[in-house]
Amino acid sequence: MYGLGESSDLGAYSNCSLSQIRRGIESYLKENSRSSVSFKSIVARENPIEQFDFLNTRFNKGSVEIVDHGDHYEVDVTREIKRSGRTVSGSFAIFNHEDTQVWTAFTAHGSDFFERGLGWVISKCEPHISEFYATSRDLETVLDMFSEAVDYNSKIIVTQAVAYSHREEGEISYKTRPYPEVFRAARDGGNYVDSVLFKSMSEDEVNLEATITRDGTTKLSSGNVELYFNYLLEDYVSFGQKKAELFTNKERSRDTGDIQEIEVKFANPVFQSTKDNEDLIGALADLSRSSVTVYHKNPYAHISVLDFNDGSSCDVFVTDSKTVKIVPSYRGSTNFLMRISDKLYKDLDESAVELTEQQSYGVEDFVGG
Amino acid sequence: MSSDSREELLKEFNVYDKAVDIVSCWESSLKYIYGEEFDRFYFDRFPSLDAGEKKLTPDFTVFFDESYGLIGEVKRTFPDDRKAILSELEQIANYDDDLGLKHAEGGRAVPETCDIIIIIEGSSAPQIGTRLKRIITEEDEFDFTANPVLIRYHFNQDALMSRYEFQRVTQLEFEFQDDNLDVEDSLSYILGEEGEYQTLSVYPKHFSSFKVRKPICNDAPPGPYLATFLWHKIFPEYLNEDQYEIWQATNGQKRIPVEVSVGGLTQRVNNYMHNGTVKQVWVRRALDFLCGADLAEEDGSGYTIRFMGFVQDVGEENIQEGSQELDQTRELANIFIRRYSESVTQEEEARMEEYDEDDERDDSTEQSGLGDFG
Repeated sequence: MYGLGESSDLGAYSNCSLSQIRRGIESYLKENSRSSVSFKSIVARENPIEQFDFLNTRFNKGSVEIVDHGDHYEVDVTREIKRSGRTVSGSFAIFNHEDTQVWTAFTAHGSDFFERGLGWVISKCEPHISEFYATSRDLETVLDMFSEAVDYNSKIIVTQAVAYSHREEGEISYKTRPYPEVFRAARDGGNYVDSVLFKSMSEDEVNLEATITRDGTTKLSSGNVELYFNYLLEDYVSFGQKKAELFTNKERSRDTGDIQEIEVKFANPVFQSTKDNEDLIGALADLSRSSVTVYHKNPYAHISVLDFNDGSSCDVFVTDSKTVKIVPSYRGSTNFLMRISDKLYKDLDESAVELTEQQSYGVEDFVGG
Repeated sequence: MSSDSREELLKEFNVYDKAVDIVSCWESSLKYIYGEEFDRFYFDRFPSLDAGEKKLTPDFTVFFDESYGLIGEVKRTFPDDRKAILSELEQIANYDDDLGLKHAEGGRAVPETCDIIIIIEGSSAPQIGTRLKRIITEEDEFDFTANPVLIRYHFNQDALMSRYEFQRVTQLEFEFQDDNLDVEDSLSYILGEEGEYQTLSVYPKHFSSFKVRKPICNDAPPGPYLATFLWHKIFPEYLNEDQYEIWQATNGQKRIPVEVSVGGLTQRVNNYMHNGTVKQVWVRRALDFLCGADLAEEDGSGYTIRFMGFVQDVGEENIQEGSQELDQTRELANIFIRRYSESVTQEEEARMEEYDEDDERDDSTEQSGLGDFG
């Protein structure tokens, strides 16, 4: 079950609970020291299970069986890969984080099933469900929160981190350093951290070895399972929930025509030249499954973006050197807005905060400045 | 089709966009400054005014309260020729009448005083102001009751805070006659002598939401302009979930036929804008443009759109050397215009020319077009 093997605590129970699974994970990782359990957290406004089930009617060469275990769902997936004809099969568990729109799926089956089984289910259910993206600053904060929660004397050492440059291709790898150093080095070099494999040590004993990444994927390699579930994962998904709140229900109102603007404010003056606006246009044009219309390019930019997934669209404005406004249309799914914001962060700068306040202006804003 | 014509289409696109910006600037600034002050304040972006037999279609009207209103006209640079200047002024003089302006309660009312605001591009503004002054006040050719207030605009390209700036052209001495408005910061104060001719600066952050709500102004949009709007904002509404699944699977490359009638589509565009009054002929022009770009086909009752997504490097085989810039390879307006210039037939081109001629005829009786301002 879930790739955790039959020898674990799970095997004996046909109707297991999440806490039993946690124990199962603990024994599995102890018995298989080179293995890990992979997690994928996603955002869904409604229970995603219905969409999973719906895949059975949409795809002939894939089947999804679902068992409701009360506090989580078991999802068994079998699918034939079109190109090679081989079959991928396995199962994963998925549960909702209380009072949030975030759901986490996990499995101990290897990366092949994680990407082509679990990953296939998630991707085929877009845009009804959405990936979320943490910034590297979010990742650093998750580690801050974890280190405070676990043990005042604990140390978090990065075993391996991967960072990328914002505007150019290229991967930078950092090894065996305290995590603040890794994030500082990446920031100073104008890079963003994409994934971090770390060890949390308390008096020379490893209490957790795990990976966190920007795209909602986390991995538990060894250590205390309760620490992972109760602290690291919860802290991590809190950032997903913040994004979900920011990017959900932001469509223009069909009744009143009113719009809601999302303001992305960068700490640095990202847009100072025509080239900077072109970089923004390039980033948006490069977004998968979408097209752009440029209405104004210089010095202020106005770009319309259409998403092929569900017909969502929005207008994107550069309103000053530090600010981008995203204005969703009547269709403006969470999935689409999340993808756009991630693209801005990845390609331009990660120093941004997002706000949804509607501004009001007075005469002093128009004269005398 | 020549590359000059292609450039011309791109230029028209940009000129129209600037006109939408300018109207959006006035809508946003006046609404923010005066919207709360007056219960019936209304900025009409698509006015159609009854003047006896004639319908007048200025670029905007503003109802403040029963004491004051404005009629706005965004003008091309005034011609040099005296006869042509007189003709322009005759059009503007049509607005000097008891015209009912829309107000926020849904009806129309004639304000006690209604001025005419003429917005022109900045560089030649003093010269135009001087000429108008000579004709109106010195030669007494016109006897305006409304004040024709001349405003120049300038796009300040400060990279950090780019903005549209508006100033009164003082050569023509007419001021806003809004003294009876119960408001501290009247336009006559802000832009007039009393306020030392201040500049009204409108930033993208002020007007962007207004431009999104109503991406068209009260002049016929060029075919490519409205076509991009239809493609991104309206046609996606016609697709059902199954069709989106097809798009998901094909990265939007599968052409999905969308059948539209001109009337139905116009209604959708107007619903999109909430109280928009886009004309059917504008929509037909955009559809005919898409036919010329081989992206739509007219049949007996309407049009069938070959709706598809355009992604990078699709159908780019005819890119000229040296023109492989981003906007020319991935951007919808450029893709449309390039396709149009490659596919349009003589018959289709003649049809598009008729729309241009119709616009010019409209200009002579109703309003001036945007011309080549900007």
